[in-house]
Amino acid sequence: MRKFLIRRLLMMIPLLLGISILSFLIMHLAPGEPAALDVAMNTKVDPSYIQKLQAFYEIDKPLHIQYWHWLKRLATLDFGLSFKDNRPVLRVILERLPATLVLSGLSEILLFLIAVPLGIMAAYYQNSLYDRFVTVFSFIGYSTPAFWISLLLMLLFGVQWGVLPVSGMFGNDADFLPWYGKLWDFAQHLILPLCVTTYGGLASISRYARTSMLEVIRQDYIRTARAKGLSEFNVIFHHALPNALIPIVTLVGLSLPGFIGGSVIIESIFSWPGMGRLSYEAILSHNYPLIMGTVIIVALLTILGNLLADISYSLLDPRIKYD
Amino acid sequence: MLRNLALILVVLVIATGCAKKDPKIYDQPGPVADGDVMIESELSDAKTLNPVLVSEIAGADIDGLIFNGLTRYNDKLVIEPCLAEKWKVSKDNKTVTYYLRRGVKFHDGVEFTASDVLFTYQVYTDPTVNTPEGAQYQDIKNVEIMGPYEVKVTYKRPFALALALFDTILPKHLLEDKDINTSDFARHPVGTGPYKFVEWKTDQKIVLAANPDYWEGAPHIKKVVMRIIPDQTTQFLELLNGGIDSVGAWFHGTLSAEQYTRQSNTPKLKDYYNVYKTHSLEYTYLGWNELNPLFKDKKIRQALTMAIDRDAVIQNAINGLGSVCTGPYPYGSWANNPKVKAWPYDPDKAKKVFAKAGWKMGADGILHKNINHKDTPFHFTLVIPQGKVDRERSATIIQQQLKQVGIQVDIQVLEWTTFLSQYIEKKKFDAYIMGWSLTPDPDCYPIFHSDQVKEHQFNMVSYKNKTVDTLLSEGRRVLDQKTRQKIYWRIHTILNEEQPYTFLYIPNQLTAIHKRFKGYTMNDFDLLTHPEQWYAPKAQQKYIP
Repeated sequence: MRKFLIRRLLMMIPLLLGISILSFLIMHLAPGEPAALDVAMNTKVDPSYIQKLQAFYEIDKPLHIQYWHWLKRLATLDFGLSFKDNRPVLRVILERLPATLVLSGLSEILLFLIAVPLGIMAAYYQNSLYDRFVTVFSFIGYSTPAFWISLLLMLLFGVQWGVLPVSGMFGNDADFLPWYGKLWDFAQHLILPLCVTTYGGLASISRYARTSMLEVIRQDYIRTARAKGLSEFNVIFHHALPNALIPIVTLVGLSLPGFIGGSVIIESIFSWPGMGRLSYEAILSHNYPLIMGTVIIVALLTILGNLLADISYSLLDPRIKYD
Repeated sequence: MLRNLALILVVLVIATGCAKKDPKIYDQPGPVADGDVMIESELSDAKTLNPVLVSEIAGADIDGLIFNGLTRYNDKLVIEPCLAEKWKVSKDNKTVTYYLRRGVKFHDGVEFTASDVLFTYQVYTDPTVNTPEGAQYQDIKNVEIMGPYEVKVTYKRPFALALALFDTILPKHLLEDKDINTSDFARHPVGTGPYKFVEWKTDQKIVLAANPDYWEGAPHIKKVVMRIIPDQTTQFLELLNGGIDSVGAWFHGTLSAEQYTRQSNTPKLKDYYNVYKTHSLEYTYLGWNELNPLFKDKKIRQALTMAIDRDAVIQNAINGLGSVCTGPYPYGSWANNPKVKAWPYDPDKAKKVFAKAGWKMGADGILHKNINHKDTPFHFTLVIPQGKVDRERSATIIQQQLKQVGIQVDIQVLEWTTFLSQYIEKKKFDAYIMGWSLTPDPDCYPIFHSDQVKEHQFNMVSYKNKTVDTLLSEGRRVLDQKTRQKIYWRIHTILNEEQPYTFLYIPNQLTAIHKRFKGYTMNDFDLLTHPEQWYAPKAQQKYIP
């Protein structure tokens, strides 16, 4: 196991290097550049300012020099300064990462707690009314556009009934509340975006859980377990479930980039200050240091997450051993 | 357990219901009182609050409350005294002597003097400082301190915009040894204005507190919060919910045409908010590329304008919430020539002009002409930047209207950066629809002067008219309002005749303000004047600042 871990961690370096080069090239392929974009259509600005800014951002230098400077700084964990407000990129990202992680993290947990049992029960009671209801319900969630559901929920819970806040992460009075008041305020603001994020993911996870469970239930060892006289509870939860969960773990692993990258749409609608909006706005404004920083950090966390997913395979499935 | 939960839920719902006041209380007038918080929002965050480096809307809006200038525009778009009590312009129009107000303090208590004005000038003209708007100060020859409250500014040539310069005065004592480009002043600005900076949570909110020593009188509203709400629909829902107090009053923003039109069906809007319809300081236009042989002849451009029913465009693209535009000046500005009449919607006359120019209707319903021995259909592409629904709608309506007179228009919606860098800057377009945000001054030299056609400059349609060139240069050099007015009236007449743009419309600014706020008058120019006079009567105040 140890050799496996070391090997995986070492492989991260060439992987990240490759990702950074590719992202750097693609980023510069897009038409336009940040200095002109900054002051576009501002008639008081003289073109000489744009040249000044290009020199300040170092984008007038050849590409390989720009990349090399960036890489040199990265060796000291200096991700550079964001073009937008000249603040260190690492600081900007770390400001926004927790908001996204909280939302995505809670959403994944909820998904796991809701969708998996939903899918497993649907498999158990296959073709029953319950099964059909779960299918329809989750597909509605999958096909409705997230922004539309968000606005409807905001309208109902925020404006009509007034029980939940409409947008943002904290309320207008949050600064004056004691720590438990702030926590409660935060929780209230979290509910709607959490619901929307979770509802969208319900369909795929519950369907996978259902399919996976159906396959497992048909296996001979389940029949054997029943024949042995074990309780139904024991059969399902001790014998069938761990095997059915393996594809689910894959799914969770695959959803990691979105998990850390955040959802632009939900974050824009709910004014949630997360990574999704940060990277989207960075891309639109050609904020090169911020884009590179986001790419590297999201890639790093995704690779680590995949590593964790692989390790949990070996825990779930005794057949899988790493060395 | 479940029953207890249900009980708690019921109590919560009732409690939140009771918390809302009966809206009729806000209709009452009330005596001036201190207190309360004004919460408004913007669609995107500021990048910096250092006025020297600011180039985006949110930063400029906040700086407008934190800083003062020597002068400012009043609600009639006329320059009035601010930090300068009065000024004298020399006979040759090349020198302005400002007499500064005494007893004005920066937010940290240090007094404002003439040395701050000199320092501001030095910063704006320092080549190492990345200031976007430094070019305006290049006409200044010299700034001299004549006394602690007297400053003499000498220009190389008379400069009409001179009095509008120095619109944010920097504190010398805080910035003199610092690197302006990277100073922390960008996150912690200090000025002389009615509001002081308190905190900035990036992409969430910026908080300002009233300056109790403000020279025009301490503001009654004790706190101002600018929330960042990137989506216009969410912004509206927050307004209905009471999460924000106004849209478009203190900061840039507007209700959408739909939200305004539907207000009679939205009791939450009607009962709690005053909604105002004024004109915004901008206009939307269709630019014809004069390098394209199709649009070279001004008669063709006139005919194209006559073939477009601008009233129908306004009705359908922005629900009638706008006015037809005939020139490049703010609505109601002294620069608009009253004698200029908009080209009428007359498709028959337009057809006659096309016919006279040699265009014949083909079997495909499109006009054809033999240009350079090649049969050319009257067919062009209209490019528009993605993002503004009203422009996309306008384009579709125009496409239809031009089809009626035999012109085929293809519409292409492009992402903003691509639109700018690949099409507009490179002049690789036939026609486009965009808008201009205006300053109170009518000077439009960068937009219509024939030498402003290089990359990153603003005469994107390559318009060339020697008379207009001379008039534009003159307009910048004359200080007397009456003479300037004659100049800009003439420019208006010529532009209307030559139609380098088909000026489309000036959209309305739709502002919503919570009824509890009093003490202001809405002007037609969407300018915030005297924020320190706004107040909410004690009985109607909502927040404890």
